[in-house]
Amino acid sequence: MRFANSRERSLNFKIAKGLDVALAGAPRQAIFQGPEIASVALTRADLRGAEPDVLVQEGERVALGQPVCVDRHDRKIAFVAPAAGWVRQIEKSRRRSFQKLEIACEGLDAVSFETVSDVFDTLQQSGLWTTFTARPFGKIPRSDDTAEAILVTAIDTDPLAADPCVIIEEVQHDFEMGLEALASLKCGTVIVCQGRGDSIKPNLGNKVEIATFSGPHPAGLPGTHLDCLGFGHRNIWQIGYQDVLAIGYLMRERRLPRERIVALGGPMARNPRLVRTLRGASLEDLTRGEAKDGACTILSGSALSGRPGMHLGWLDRQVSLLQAPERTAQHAYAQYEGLSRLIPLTPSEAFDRLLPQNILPVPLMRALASGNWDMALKLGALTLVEEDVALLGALCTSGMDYGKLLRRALDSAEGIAA
Amino acid sequence: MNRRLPYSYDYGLSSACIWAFNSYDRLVWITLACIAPPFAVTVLHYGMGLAPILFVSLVTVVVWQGVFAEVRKRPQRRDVLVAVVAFVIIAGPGISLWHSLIALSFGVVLGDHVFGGRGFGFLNLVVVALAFVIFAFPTDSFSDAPEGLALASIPGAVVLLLVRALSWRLLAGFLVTLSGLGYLLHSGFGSDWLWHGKLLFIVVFLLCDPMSSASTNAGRWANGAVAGILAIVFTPPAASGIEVEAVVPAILLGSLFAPLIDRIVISVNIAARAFRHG
Repeated sequence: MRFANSRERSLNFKIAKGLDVALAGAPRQAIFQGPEIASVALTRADLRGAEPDVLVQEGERVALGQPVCVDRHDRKIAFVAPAAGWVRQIEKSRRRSFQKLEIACEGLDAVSFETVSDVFDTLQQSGLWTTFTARPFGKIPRSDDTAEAILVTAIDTDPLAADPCVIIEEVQHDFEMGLEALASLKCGTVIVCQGRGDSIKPNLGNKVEIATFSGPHPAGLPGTHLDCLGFGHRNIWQIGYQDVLAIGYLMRERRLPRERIVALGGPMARNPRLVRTLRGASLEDLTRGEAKDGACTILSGSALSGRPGMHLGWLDRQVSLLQAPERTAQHAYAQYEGLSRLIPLTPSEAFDRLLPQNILPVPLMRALASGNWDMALKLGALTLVEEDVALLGALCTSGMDYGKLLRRALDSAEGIAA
Repeated sequence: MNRRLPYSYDYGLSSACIWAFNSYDRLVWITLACIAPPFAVTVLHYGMGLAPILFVSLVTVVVWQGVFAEVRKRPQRRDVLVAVVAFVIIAGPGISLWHSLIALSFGVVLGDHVFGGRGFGFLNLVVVALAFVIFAFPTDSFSDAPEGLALASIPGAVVLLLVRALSWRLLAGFLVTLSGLGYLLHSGFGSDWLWHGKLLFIVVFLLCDPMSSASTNAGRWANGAVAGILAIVFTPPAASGIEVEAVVPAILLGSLFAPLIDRIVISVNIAARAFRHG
């Protein structure tokens, strides 16, 4: 591994390729108290491929941090209630698969994790284990898994993102405690990835490494960091800075933090800013009165890789308020099922300037579009997840969702689908 | 591919479809705007003399397009207009109408629609149609280029470069090989060989068509170089410049080689990745 000796190497990377998407409505980098949230939810998307066994029933009271479901195949992985209240609804699809568990917020009860000693156990019981993302594949790591390194992403280059420094500075102590907890997992080196010139300096000696990145958009994505640091598709865990703050809080207070900070922004946002809100907060409550007049699309996540939905995603750090798309000719075709695929991909040079990894973008897009998963994997799809290819989709004339296609290629590599 | 997806699929839905900067329609409009100045120059030069071939080309292409759209139950597309305009500019009124009807039919059907339309094949229908004219009707002669055609192609080239629909690598690969070999082999070239005839127009709108050229950066250099070498090879020794009869077959062969070139670039990339990651 390249990380044998910590002293002599410089981990400063300048990313040349990429694109900063210019969007109006960048958030003011100051933290405000968010509106009252009436309901929070855990949705199927938050499970990232886990099959849940629901442990609570409709109408039951839950406390913040109480497990509401566990992964059927790995029962140590718990998903916990993001707020105290009572279970309003457990939505299932017609085939009985889990869709959404909605909690009406009420009270401030929180589960205390006093008795747990081991850091692994604390993280798993508190539900914060599910904030790890195991690469390759971008899923929740198994409870008995270990990693070669843990990447802490403390840089955000997505359009309209919050500045991590502003958020971390407030609770620098939590950040350090969180990093210390990660270091005590003994899963390889803990590497903090941050922007060049960022003021976050965790005071932890040589327990953690610091890598800095600068450049246009994918410079802040873990996929880019993995590639720059030379990990390729080795077994790495990644975690966002807000989740490290949550781990620090958990270590200090022995319970989960109630709040999380998200950036509210976008061309349709009346007052773009950072707000304190709950994990899984209802987007309706969160954005009430925030949107300008006119048709508005609300995404949980960034304009590039966010998804439409009713609730804030488990790991999302921003909410984007965008103009709802006009019905262009391209979208008019899309109403005929399958026909949307017939808009051609223009293999222009623009794509070759988007991916910092040494990946041939147009061949990858063609392999994905034609369902040639083997070729996609050979071209380096294993080092990517959905957010890494979001720029390709945004610039592609075909309107194809490469993130979704990439997930199918990754699942075929994992042996989930044929 | 159409079977029901297993459980894990609904996550990771990206919003790319909701919010795309680039639409294909917009690109078609941009290309039409770029091709308008050379077309205006041609119209001014020939006046009403251009009307018959314009009419025949338009009807041929639109009818075939309509037939395929109807049979395949697909929406009509406007991108064929660019092809009609490019064909009319290059062929001019010198080609008999009957020949241009057959050539364009061949181009539209076998160069484009058998693959599923523009963007799904690997050839440009105008190149195929012109090559058909060159090989099948060698007695037909392309009209002389109107004054200022090359100059009128420049603004469009700049716009296409800015939207990156035109690859500077492809252009550079072609022009470097062409000027280098032309200097060595063709002493008859004037100093203004680049502005000679319809060369520049053809290079900008046919050679640099992203749909029918290589799609990797290394491949674009190679594709341009292959077309440049072939254009020189096809030019008779005493010529004063590169004519349509030389550059169009060169571009056609370049397009035919493009997938092979890309394949080589991809294999090298895959081998390098396998070497790096073991």
